[in-house]
Amino acid sequence: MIVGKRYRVGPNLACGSCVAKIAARAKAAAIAAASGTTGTGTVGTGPVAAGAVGVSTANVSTVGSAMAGAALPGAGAVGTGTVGVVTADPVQPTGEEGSFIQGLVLGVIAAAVGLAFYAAFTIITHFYVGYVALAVGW
Amino acid sequence: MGSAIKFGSKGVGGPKYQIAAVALTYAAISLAEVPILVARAMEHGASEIDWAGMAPKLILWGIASPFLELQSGVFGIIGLVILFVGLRIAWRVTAAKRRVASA
Repeated sequence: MIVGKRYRVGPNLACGSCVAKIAARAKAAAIAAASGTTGTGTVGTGPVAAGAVGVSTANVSTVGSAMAGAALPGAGAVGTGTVGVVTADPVQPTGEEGSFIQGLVLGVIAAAVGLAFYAAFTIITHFYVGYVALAVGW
Repeated sequence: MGSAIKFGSKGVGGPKYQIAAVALTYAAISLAEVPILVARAMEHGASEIDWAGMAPKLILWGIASPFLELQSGVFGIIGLVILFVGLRIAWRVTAAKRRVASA
């Protein structure tokens, strides 16, 4: 899993003419807005990557497939966004946590064995040896 | 105890491993008094006692037993010192390895 890597999202470069069309539409929209007229068909038509904006826990290929072919309003922002921060999955336990659980399980088993050994030795021999505590601790 | 935890954690040590080792060591040593008490009671003819019903009280008594033995005088103190040494062994065995920095 790649952590904290940023990916630039650009237009659909497979279609070279799309970029020119988008730029032309954005320019027309700007002119229309400046002149007070309504710019029809100039907003919301750009093939900007959508759905992958923000933080994602998916891998790179998933982000890439989510970006393809989607559309967002705002043709003027085509190819300028920086999106798709990939982070590690927080649900997965780390190696240290896993080793701690294993150690704990083995420790509980050892405690049960030590308890049984200590109690059996004392009951059978009637000899109370506190030094067994040292062996149990080790 | 300490070695078992160290083995299970694949050599990893640290404060939480040490606390777990000390707690389990203390539990093992102190709770061992419970079956010893039950065996002694059975030897003295106390076979009609409902041990299962007394289990919670017996466990609490077992956990406190190392300190309750202080009532027996010197032997209680010696037992507590030995117990402390055993806990210290468990603490040291599960400590994190120190890295030696080269000059």
